[in-house]
Amino acid sequence: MATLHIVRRSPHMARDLERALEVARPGSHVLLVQDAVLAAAEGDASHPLLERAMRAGVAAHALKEDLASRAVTRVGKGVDVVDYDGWVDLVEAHQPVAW
Amino acid sequence: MRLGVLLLDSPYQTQDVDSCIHFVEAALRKGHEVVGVFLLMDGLYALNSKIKAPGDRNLAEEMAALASRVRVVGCGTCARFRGVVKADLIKGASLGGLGDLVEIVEASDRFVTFGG
Amino acid sequence: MGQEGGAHATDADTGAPAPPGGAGGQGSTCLLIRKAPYGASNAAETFRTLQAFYAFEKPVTLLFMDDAVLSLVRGVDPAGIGMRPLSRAFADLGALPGVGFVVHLESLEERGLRPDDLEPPLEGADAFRFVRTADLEATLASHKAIIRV
Repeated sequence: MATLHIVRRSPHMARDLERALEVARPGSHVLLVQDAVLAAAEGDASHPLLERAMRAGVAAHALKEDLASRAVTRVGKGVDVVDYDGWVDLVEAHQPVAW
Repeated sequence: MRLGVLLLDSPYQTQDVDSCIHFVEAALRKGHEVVGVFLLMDGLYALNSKIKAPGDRNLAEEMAALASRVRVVGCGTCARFRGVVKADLIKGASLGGLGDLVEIVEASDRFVTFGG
Repeated sequence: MGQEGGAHATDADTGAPAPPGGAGGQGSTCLLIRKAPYGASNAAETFRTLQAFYAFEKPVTLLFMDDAVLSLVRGVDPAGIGMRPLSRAFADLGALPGVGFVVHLESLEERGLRPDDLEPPLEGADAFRFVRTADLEATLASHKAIIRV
């Protein structure tokens, strides 16, 4: 079973995202919620870190409701946008770890 | 799936109580079983029925709505350390111990932590 | 009780992922702790949670990562901040049957620490397992549930 890394803190304020992406193996998933959705924004300084992980085979997801509340409109290519139902589906499919 | 949840943060201070409630509600809507929501550390404050939120979402009321459908239990020791007593609790929630957390984890297929 | 330096064997060089704690395997719980002790109560709460899993005879692994590796470090003296030292008590918990301790090596290295800077396990108890980042996800995945206090 693949792992679902759930990251919630801003990549500018914490090392959580960096750590989660260091630990995530190809085939695993990272879900960005709350302030962490900033990393899904095309223009964010942390987005290249996410892109590198995606190129290495980590699937990236971001929560729609949190993207909207942070006014992130340009989501990086390859990032899968999910709602709360989608979050539930991801947890059902993979083993969750909260960073 | 049988879902177990741990909540560590207090309402309003961070978004974690909101995320937890929305996530659990979505799981219930999709027909999953929620084995229980355990509250530890500042999560205990989410069970305080005295919360008033003028002009804003009332997270204690939202937790009470959840507690009417799923098992919601707080760590008694953490409650004591925060001055939350049984009489303060939202309807449907109870104070227990870490043994309840163990029970919830053991009965779950998936376990998610919020806050902390 | 307690040993001089060199008390920790590490198989990090083999790159083997740490096996699950105690009698574990697919059925055991992993308690992941990342915060430092004293600056936050998460480590102390994880300590109590570990005791509960042991009391209910459920296998459990404690995985120390990031600042949480300080929970085991030798030479702490928190009397001046009004708190009690955790390191020796934590290390002793690792000796309980059904309990496994895993320490993230890079987290030690980032803090200028080595395995020998940690309180050693009780004499006769299982050694702590030291795991590198490359094997962390496999270690996490070998458990039924991951609780991150």
